[in-house]
Amino acid sequence: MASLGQLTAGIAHEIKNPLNFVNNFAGLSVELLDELKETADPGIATLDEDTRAEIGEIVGMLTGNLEKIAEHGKRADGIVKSMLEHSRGASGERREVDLNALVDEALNLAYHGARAQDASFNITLERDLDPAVAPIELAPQEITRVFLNLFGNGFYAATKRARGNGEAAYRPTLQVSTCDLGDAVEIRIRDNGTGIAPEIRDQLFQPFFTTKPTGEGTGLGLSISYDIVTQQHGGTITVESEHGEFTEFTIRLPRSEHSTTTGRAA
Amino acid sequence: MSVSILVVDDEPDVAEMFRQRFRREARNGTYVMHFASSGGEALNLLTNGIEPTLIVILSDINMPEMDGLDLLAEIKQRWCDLPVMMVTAYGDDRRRCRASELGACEFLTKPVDFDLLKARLAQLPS
Repeated sequence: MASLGQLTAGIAHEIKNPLNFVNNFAGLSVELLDELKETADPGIATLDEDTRAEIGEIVGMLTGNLEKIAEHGKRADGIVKSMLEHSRGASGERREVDLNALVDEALNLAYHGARAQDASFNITLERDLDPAVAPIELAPQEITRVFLNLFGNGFYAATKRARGNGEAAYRPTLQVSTCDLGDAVEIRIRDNGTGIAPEIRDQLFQPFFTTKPTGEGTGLGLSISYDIVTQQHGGTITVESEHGEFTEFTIRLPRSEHSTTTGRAA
Repeated sequence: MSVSILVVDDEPDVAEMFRQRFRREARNGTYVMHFASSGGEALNLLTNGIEPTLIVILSDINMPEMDGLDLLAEIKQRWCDLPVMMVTAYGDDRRRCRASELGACEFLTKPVDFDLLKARLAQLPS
């Protein structure tokens, strides 16, 4: 059975083609309409006022419609690109890495990325990285993607809370900690954002499930992260949350490639 | 002075898109556009001779019967100095490298950036 990554990549590729035509022809049509207006203007000027007004109105609506088609086409394009990025390059190349360095790098990337997208974005980052964490073999590209997903979600939740009920003393904060458990390593990512409503807890890792408004999220981040952690690395990913207060994701990655974690993760 | 461009793509809407995108250039005589919907058809046109002077072939990769890379190899064997640009939805490195090895002078991914394409065309030796 195709993995989620292969499925989304396949669908995205198939949709890209007709979407290109939608965008291209919409753009071309807007240009052609402008040309038509220019060419026809001298002739239209000779018509009576009512007819001129009607022509103007129709041309205006046509232009508006085409611009809308182009706009939604671009939106769909963005979704497709996002889907492809999420499922891209599952090279699965494994090597020994310094986990703390990987976490730190991903955190910086996520933070600066968020700032680049929104200059007003701000959050307090708290790192509690256990110096005793020994190098561990994993797929760094994929694990980084998991971190980026979780950091991004944390930023989103904290920012949402900051913009919400105007709690005077609220400071959006993201805490990241690592811990060596001997036969495994543990990474905790905790935000003090809006938290997760209990009724949707079970759906979190489902593909395409999202609480973000249309156009803001594909709903693939957590499901792909889940696949990467559990299927690719034999680890576990769990979540704890209090609605309105915090959310904490705990990832456990075993050291040996074929080990399974013993006992239930918190 | 007019020169020709040959576009090879099995999707008929691609031809229409190129026609519209090059409408001004076609009207003022800069380029004459030719279209083939398969590698075989393209080779026929080339064998029979294209007028005015053909300066470049723009070819898709993913086509039934003869894919763009096979066409590229064939063209380079028979008309080695004719510039060929691959225009394709598949931007992966493997195809890019293969196209380069076979002699493609450019590798453009769809959706085509027509401003970029026209800039590249202007840079071709004519």
